[in-house]
Amino acid sequence: MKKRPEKNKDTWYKLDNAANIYPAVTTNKNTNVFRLSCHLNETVDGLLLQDAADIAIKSFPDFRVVMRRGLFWHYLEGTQLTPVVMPEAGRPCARNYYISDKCLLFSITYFQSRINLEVFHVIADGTGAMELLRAIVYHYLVLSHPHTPLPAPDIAPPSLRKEDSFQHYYNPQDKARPRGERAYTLAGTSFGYNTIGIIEAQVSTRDFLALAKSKGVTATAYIAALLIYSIYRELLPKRLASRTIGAIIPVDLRGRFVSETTRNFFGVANVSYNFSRQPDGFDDVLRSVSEQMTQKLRTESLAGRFNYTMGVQKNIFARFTPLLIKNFVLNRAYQQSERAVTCAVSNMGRIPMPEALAPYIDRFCCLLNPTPLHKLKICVCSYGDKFVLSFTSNIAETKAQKHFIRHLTDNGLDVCITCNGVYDDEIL
Amino acid sequence: MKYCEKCKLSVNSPVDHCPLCYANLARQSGEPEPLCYPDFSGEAEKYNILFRILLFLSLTICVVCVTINLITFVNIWWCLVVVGNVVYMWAAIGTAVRRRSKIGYNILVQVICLALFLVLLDWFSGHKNWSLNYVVPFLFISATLSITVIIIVRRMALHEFLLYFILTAFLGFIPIILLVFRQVTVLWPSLVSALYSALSLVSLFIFADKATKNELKKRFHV
Repeated sequence: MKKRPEKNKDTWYKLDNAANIYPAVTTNKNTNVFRLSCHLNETVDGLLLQDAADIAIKSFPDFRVVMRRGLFWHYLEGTQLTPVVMPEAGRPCARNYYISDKCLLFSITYFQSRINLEVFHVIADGTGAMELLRAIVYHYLVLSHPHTPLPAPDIAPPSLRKEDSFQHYYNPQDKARPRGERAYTLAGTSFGYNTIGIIEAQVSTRDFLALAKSKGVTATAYIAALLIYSIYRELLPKRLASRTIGAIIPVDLRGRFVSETTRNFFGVANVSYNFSRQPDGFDDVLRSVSEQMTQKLRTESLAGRFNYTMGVQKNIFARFTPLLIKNFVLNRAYQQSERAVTCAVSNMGRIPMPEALAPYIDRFCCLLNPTPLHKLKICVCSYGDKFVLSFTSNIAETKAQKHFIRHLTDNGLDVCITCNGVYDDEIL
Repeated sequence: MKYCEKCKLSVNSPVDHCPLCYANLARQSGEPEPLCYPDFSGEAEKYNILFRILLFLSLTICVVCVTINLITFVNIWWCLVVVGNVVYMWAAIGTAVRRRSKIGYNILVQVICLALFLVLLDWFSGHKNWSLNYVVPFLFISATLSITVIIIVRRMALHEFLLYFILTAFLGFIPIILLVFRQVTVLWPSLVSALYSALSLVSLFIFADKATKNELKKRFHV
């Protein structure tokens, strides 16, 4: 193919509304990087994966960007760099961006039978990045099974994928300022910035959905309620018993507004429960969380929230404030909003892949990076009958995870867990 | 596959204890468990001893000077010069080290720090206003000039240095603004500085190619 030098440099775009916050608040601990992985039924070959990544990235030009600083805003600039596939080393979800080295904002690694895609939240959200991972996995399987014809997964056209959907659906008339009281922040023995604890619990999708259904709630509501309840039972100290325990739940907006973008297009819903003011049975928490979610996941509530942040972004004073000051203010605002919840629950839902690829894929899993204020996060996704709940945490205490998982086993679910080595360390 | 009797779940990782309750695990089936993650717990946070020694020394110098100044006070706050010097050193060397690859950014920061420091020095050594009258205007001229030279030497580098070129050029107007507010008392250096800046900006618009104009849009979008 003929090379087109420097062509990409002319293409640039502004950060979307959600992305603007990340460069201002990213540190070695709060990396704002998430990981999506796919476990195959075969050992991954690095060279083949490199070929697969090279093919896949061609249809994702919007991932080939570097971040630059302007006088008023950051922006993304096209680049000729291509991703270099590396064997996995170091901590998952590690910081992959420094403004001074112009590097890609995502990385592709592999470990044994797993393909990892780590993405800095500025360029894509979970659903958007999953499109790229699905393409990489598909091309890898095509290359490693040259004699079997495999159908390609559906992906959206590139022109639609780079749309800033926040811009598209912004309605200045309908704003709702988010409010929240300060929630309990987890405390515990810290792992330090380059280690995180990972526990993945694998259950049957059918059984888990049946369990949630038996209580009449959605899977996300069940997980959020159970996590809040587990934190209350195991970690909330007596002297802070009056504190609210809250969970932040990112919601994909593509289901509510028509959009096929791979860039950020999500809203958030905060659910919380105060055990000193409300009854402390699990069923009460479940009912309350489910009610809060029904109310906050209404399209109008989600739109009101992003209309508010869009309004701030479009404010004339905000726009002409130099980036240095803007970063400082954003950082303050971010810390404030982070304090309103204790933990994070993210549901990626069912990962769609063509039926013919099923024999080669074991499962998908997703990891979120725990931050100094959100020390415990859960990300779930399902593929086939494998429902994977990934707990990531930067504290050594696993009491909340234990309560959570024992609740599942007590309800008759078969749980299989995998973890990384940090919990087995005698020193901790 | 291993099994935890207490939690009633299977563990498919090469660990001896249940990660949830730390109970010893019982072996369930023969095959060994696959490693799920490479070991990455070894790397420790770097401890920069030189940085810490320098920080401590700077602090000591400041504290000692402030104390001596207070005890033997004779109308002059000379300790502020020392403290200013230390702050200047940290700001200037700090950016030079941290962003060594960013020449334009460095020139801008160094010039601003140096100008502030010289003004401070001037004020505490008799306020003869030599800094704002003569030194600062020429400092700003030399900053713009040096970026211009870099752009010419490294051909086609105009769009790389655009932001810093424009910002340093705008700095050149500061002395003449201060003249209006009677902080500057000698006209010609300020006038030269303002003229030089104006001509630099005009030259930018005359010589700018498409890439530069595009860069201008990117860097200054609001």
